[in-house]
Amino acid sequence: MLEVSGLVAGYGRITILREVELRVDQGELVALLGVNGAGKTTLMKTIAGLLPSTAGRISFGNVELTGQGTERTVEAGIVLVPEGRMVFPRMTVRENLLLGGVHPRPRPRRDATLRRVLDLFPLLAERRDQKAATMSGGEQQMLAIARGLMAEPKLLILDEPSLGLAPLMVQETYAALRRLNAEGLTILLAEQNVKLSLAASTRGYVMENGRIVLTGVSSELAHNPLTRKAYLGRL
Amino acid sequence: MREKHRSTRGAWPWLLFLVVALMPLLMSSSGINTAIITMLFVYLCVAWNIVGGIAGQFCIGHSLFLAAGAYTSTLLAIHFGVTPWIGMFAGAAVATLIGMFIAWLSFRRALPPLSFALVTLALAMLGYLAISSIDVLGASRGLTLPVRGTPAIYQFKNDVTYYVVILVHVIGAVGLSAWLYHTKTGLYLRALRDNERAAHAIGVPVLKYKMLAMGTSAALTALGGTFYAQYLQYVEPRTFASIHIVIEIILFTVVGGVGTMWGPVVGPLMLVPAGEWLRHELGSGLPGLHLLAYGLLLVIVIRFAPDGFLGALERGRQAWRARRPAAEASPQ
Amino acid sequence: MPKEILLQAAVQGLQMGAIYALIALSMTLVFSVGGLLNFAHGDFMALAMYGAMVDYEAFKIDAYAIAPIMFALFFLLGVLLFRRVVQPVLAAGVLAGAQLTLGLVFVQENLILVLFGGDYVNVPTVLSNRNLVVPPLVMPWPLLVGSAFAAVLAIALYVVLMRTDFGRQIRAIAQNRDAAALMGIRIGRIQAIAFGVGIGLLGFTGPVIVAQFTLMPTMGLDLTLIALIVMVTGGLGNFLGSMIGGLIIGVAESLGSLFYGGTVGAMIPYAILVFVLLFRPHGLLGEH
Repeated sequence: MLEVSGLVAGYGRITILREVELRVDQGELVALLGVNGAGKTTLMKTIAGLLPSTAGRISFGNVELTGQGTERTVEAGIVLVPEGRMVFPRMTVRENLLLGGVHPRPRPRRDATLRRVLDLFPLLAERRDQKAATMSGGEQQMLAIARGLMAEPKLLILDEPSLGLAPLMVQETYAALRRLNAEGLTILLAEQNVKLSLAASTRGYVMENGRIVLTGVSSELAHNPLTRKAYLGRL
Repeated sequence: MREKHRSTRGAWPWLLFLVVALMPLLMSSSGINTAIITMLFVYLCVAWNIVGGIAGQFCIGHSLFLAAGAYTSTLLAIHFGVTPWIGMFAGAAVATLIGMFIAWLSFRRALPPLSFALVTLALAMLGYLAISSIDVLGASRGLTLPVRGTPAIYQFKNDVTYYVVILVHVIGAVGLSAWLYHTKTGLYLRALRDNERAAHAIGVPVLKYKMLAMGTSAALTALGGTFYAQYLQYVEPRTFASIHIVIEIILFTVVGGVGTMWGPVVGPLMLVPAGEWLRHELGSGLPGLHLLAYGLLLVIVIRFAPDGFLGALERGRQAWRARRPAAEASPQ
Repeated sequence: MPKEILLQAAVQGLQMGAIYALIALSMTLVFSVGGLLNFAHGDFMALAMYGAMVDYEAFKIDAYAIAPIMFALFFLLGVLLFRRVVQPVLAAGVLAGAQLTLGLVFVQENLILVLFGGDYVNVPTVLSNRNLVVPPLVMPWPLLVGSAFAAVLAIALYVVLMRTDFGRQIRAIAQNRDAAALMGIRIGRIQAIAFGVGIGLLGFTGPVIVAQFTLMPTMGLDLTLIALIVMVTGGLGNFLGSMIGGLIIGVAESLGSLFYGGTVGAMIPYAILVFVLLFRPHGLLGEH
């Protein structure tokens, strides 16, 4: 479904991604691991269309997405739930969700989608008129995911969903993600938390210094000493 | 971008400047007035740049300092017969106090840059309105200086002498600016400009340097105010206290290159004579046409060279260097 | 002080306040969605008012009738300016944008000077010099109608911002640009339209209030400064703040003039600005 090859990207003259190769097939839940600074966020942003790439190729299904902006990627069905949630602070839960579905593709079905999403996340339904800034980290994460769902994604990308969350909220978030995946949503998950993400996913990639250094089935990666090396710099 | 540009290091900018500066002395009398106004703006821009460019405090209140200088020396001359040669220092003192107070106040209230700019703008407007309505200050009619044409009271029969006086001011101001730029003081000021918190963290006395920059800028501007008053032989709020003149100063400095040493010199040197020339060509017909063309010129420059003339020069220089073979390039 | 005079001044203050509110609201729109502090904002309004004068002198059409056309014209002007001039300059930073608008102030003031001369002008309309008497108030029709239009437009804009998708997209861009991009929102397009609307509103309001004011080339900057004061008082980027701030400044100016005279009245808004910046820098309603 998602094919990334030879991707080179960065910020201005600073190159972060060095020839990244990545694949996500329909229905999978794929994990992307790596320490802070390995380039996960840059990769997520480039796939989502927020950052331009200087070389390489991104394709989704039969749609060529290289060098396209967010309008095209959302059109194609890729939705990013960004690091730090990035909810709209002075807007209510409801307004945030409405904005999630504002793109022309999901817009016609937005009312129905909104009802479905609120059913999925009863906590958000309770707080629909609450300003997002007044919510806790976990609630905001839930909102960010729900907002992403409003765009009827074919591929949902999440950047560090567990960051800054209390353990209970992390469990709930991951439970929700697993549920969504079971219902057919393809997910790409960037995480620092190795155990959590490998437990939830079928396949994984490990990034280090802007490159993919390791890939494989999640259960194998979990026991692979090289995974630990990428995090600790030693075996 | 705001670093000292290679293109303006060393002695030759000084030489170039001196050549340009001495040219009007050889010119006909009609040009000398333009030259005087040009040099006045060069002076005011260099003065503003000390606090606005080098120290990075975007201050829109310099009309207060200009008026402080002009009105103080004029009032002292009219009511107490004090020669403006002395009165100008009184004016500078008043301006310095006002400037340092503003710097102190903004520091105490921790004003972010936009708020600081707006506060100075508001104070300038208040000053303008106040002067316009206080009779002792001449209100909107202004005050006229008694004309006697003797150098002892800062009046000259020959315009060339005025030019020399303002030129001396300019050289002094540029010299001071250069001294500030190249010494530890200048380093601290630029550190403050680029990252105030970091500067504070490494021990730069923030308040002291902010007050220093503002006080110096204010004092210089006030001296310019006295000069201008003596040249025009009157003072009135529309010329000395309105924010229009501050806007011009800022725009000229921006066009030249804010924060650089020679930017505030280059800007007015290019733009003021251009404006006067335009006035000559177009101004006789419709009032304001030359100013309009002038304004369009400014907008075009800002649109295509947001970092000023010197910035564009530097970019062109680097682009040109990039084309030369690697062996030629000297360490930058 | 007789109560009637006080009431009169207060009502007048509210009416002027409504006009200030609209100018500030449109300036906030431009500021929050485009990140541009438009010092030339008031000059656009002045341009529109002079345009009304031209229309009256050349075509004898009453100012109120051309307001819709002016809206369209100024909308296009706004979009064009944004695309061609503002957007490229903003890439160099917010300060560059502000400096650009300062340059535009220069251009517009002198454009007006060239085209219309420096004399003070008054533009008569069908409503000039007529008053609505609702005892104990004597209200000049021009101000009444002008402020009514301004109030309606301001409220309409506010409703659009709060209740429509378009308004939500604008607020999203203002609150978190990257996040807005991730929703698939076409940032550049929305910014351009918002800019156009902001300027277009000035184009509409100019003719509609022209009967109330005496025109002069420097009035643009004065209007911008008042709008700036309103924005800061209400809270930069806060739409509701601009509206309420406008009313506050209008009434303060009016009452100040009543008690202390015209010049002091003119000084009061600036004094308020200084106090707000020093002691309540986020404005009365909080920022953005």
